Amino acid sequence: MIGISGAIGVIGAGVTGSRVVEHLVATSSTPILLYDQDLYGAQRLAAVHRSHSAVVSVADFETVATASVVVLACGSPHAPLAQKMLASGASVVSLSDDVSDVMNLLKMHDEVMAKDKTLVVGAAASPGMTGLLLSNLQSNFDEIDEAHVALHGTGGPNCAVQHHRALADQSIGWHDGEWLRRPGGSGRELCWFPEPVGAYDCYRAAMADPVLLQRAQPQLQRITARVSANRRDRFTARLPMLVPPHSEGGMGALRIEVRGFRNGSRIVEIAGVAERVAQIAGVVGATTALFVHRGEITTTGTSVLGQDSLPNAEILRDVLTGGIRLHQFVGT
Amino acid sequence: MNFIRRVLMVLGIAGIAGAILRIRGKSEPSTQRGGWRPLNPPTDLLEEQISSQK
Repeated sequence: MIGISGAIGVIGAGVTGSRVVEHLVATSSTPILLYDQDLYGAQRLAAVHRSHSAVVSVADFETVATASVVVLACGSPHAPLAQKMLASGASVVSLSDDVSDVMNLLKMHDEVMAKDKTLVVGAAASPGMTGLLLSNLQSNFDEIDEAHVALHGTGGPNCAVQHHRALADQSIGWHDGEWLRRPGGSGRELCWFPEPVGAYDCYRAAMADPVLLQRAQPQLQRITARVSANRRDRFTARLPMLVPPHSEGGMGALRIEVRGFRNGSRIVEIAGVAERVAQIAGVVGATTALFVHRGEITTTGTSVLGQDSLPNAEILRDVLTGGIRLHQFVGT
Repeated sequence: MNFIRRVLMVLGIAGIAGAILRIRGKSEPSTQRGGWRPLNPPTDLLEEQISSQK
């Protein structure tokens, strides 16, 4: 019998969940409790890691809730699951990128505080990695006031469905102290991502980044988030998905453009990552969970990556050590 | 019958016009020239940042 209270729980054995487990197994010997509605998928994932130092066991939902920290790497909504986990005394790391789900998770702040637990919201690629990059770039400025995020690619099928929905829903952006809602699929901008991804047209979409980045760095005056899409994506955005999503999207990328002042001059810094989106999300989610598990994130209540009270530099260092390659744009 | 046919035709034309308006347009480049510089392996900057926080 493994030491259940000292375990890390993972809910979801899909593409992102498997990357979370992979990273946890590679970087720690903490026992892992895995749950998925698809029992066969969970058993298969546990079997893959049977020979590794960390024990990966398939468990029922109630047993996973006894872990010290639970990573929610399943499809949204995460808020009801997080509530159950917190009620059982576990801290939670959510990889949700759904705007309404993220808002519901953030609303749980008082409840999480009362339980003296940690709920990290949006610890994935976008949001998640974008918060870490924002925090990293911030050190190059005296003052920052704008952050613009762009994402290319999708992780697993749930992520692809979310991408499809995001282009049809209203985008949310922070503009001079107000939330602006614009139609998804509008505001075309050609964004350059790190190689081998290159340039893609990106559009406004219902993404959770502005909500979380504004929470992480409230001094920001303008925050936008865009996602790459082709004509077919935009044309069919308001229709149901006509073709079932791929089991995993190809090479993805994300970039964040931060604007502000240094020595009185206006400057722009752009950082980006090119990697499969599920891989970025898995590494960021797993690294965050390890930090919570080891007690290196002591903030109680809801937190988002990039906020000053979190050890963002250490988390980013471990994410980069996990094989994510960071790039900086040099040019105009 | 004619009325239904006309309504469907109007809706169809409106849909096609809407779709064309939605997907046309030019890209607005966010950056003009330059390139990506790799920052891995974990940079000294990160180490500095960590030590300054301690």
